[in-house]
Amino acid sequence: MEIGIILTPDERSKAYLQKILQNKITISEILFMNDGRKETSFSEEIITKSKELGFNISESVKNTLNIHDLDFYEFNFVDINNPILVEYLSKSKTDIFIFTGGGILRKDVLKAGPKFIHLHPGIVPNYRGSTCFYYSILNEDTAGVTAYFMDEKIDTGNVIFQKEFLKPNYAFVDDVYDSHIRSETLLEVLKNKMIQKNKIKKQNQNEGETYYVIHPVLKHIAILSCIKN
Amino acid sequence: MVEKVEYTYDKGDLIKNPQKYQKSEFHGNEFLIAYKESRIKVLKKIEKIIENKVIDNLEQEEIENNDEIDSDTIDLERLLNEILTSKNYERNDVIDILLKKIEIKKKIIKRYNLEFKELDDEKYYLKNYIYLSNLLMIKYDKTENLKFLNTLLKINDIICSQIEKYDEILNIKKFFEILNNEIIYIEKLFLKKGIKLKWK
Repeated sequence: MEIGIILTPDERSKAYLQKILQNKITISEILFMNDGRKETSFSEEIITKSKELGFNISESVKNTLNIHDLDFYEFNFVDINNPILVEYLSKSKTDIFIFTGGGILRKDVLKAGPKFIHLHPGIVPNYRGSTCFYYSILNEDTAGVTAYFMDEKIDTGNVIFQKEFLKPNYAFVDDVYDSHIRSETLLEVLKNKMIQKNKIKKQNQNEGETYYVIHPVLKHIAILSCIKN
Repeated sequence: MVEKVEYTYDKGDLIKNPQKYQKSEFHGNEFLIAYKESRIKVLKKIEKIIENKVIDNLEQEEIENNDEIDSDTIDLERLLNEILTSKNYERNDVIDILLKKIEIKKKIIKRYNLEFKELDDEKYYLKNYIYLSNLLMIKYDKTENLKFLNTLLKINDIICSQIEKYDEILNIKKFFEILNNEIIYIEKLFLKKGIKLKWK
């Protein structure tokens, strides 16, 4: 089974790629959707925390690819539904792509051939939707990640693996914690060959809860509850 | 000099230029204090509006919706009024659709077709925002489900940004109660999470 990855120029992709390389996991095909956006700059504190957690948030995806002399195919847009990408995927020999982004996959890309795996920062079906780790921290003092096969809806696909994490004791939740917990879950999936074992669990689509982008007031309470000590 | 943290999410015309709330920055304790100060300011404005209205003897208002009933459309005011007056708070089908409209489309309009799709008439109607806010407050009160509190905060940001343009006194009074409750919910939540914060 050939497993590839579709990267985007963001913190999540940095964590996925760097940890895959550190762990010498073989990826058969690397696609990089890169719209040339300006790299976000991070404080020393954030960079240090990311390094403690196994990735360097200040190193761009392109830099990592080049440093390791990796073969990759680059697209000048960031859109999983772009017809150019769909056309490329329809000719790819890769069976499954890990997609670092999110959102809704349209029919064209779902029918292109390969399947797509997403690492969602919430334990489905109870935490579907956006910024779920904040809701989970507020409700349960923990967060979780679900690795699943993407389908046409949001966070309803067949589940490969779920992992719970303690809430962070630092404030950089969007940039560092989110990327960290997703990349750690991905590593566990890949190291244990869970995709190849194909032990998937279907979700009951009528169960669960969908959340939307967290309001800044709730976000502040969630983060302050993480760093209160 | 350290810049004072401001609560900016209820500023400007949020009907025309809605807040997206994506990747909002973290400002620490000061942000929650700024949030409360901003809400208190709105409450004081509402008190003034109510005071002036009483002086003008305009308290009695026509609250009936006299528009003709069209069986091919959903009149949001009628629907929300019906849910609230009948206390039929288990209409989760409707509540979830409207919650999603606020979260994704950032607005609700006067009329929808029977499948809850937007009709061309996108008339802005603050009364419906207050009705929906009331419903979300009741749902959060009953369930403590954070999805209701999340949308309540967002719809209240919108209403706060518009309240000075509005003059239906009964609804303004209702919003006063909702906003007070919202502050209490937030206070309870950070106490529950063990956060020590000096509210002013």
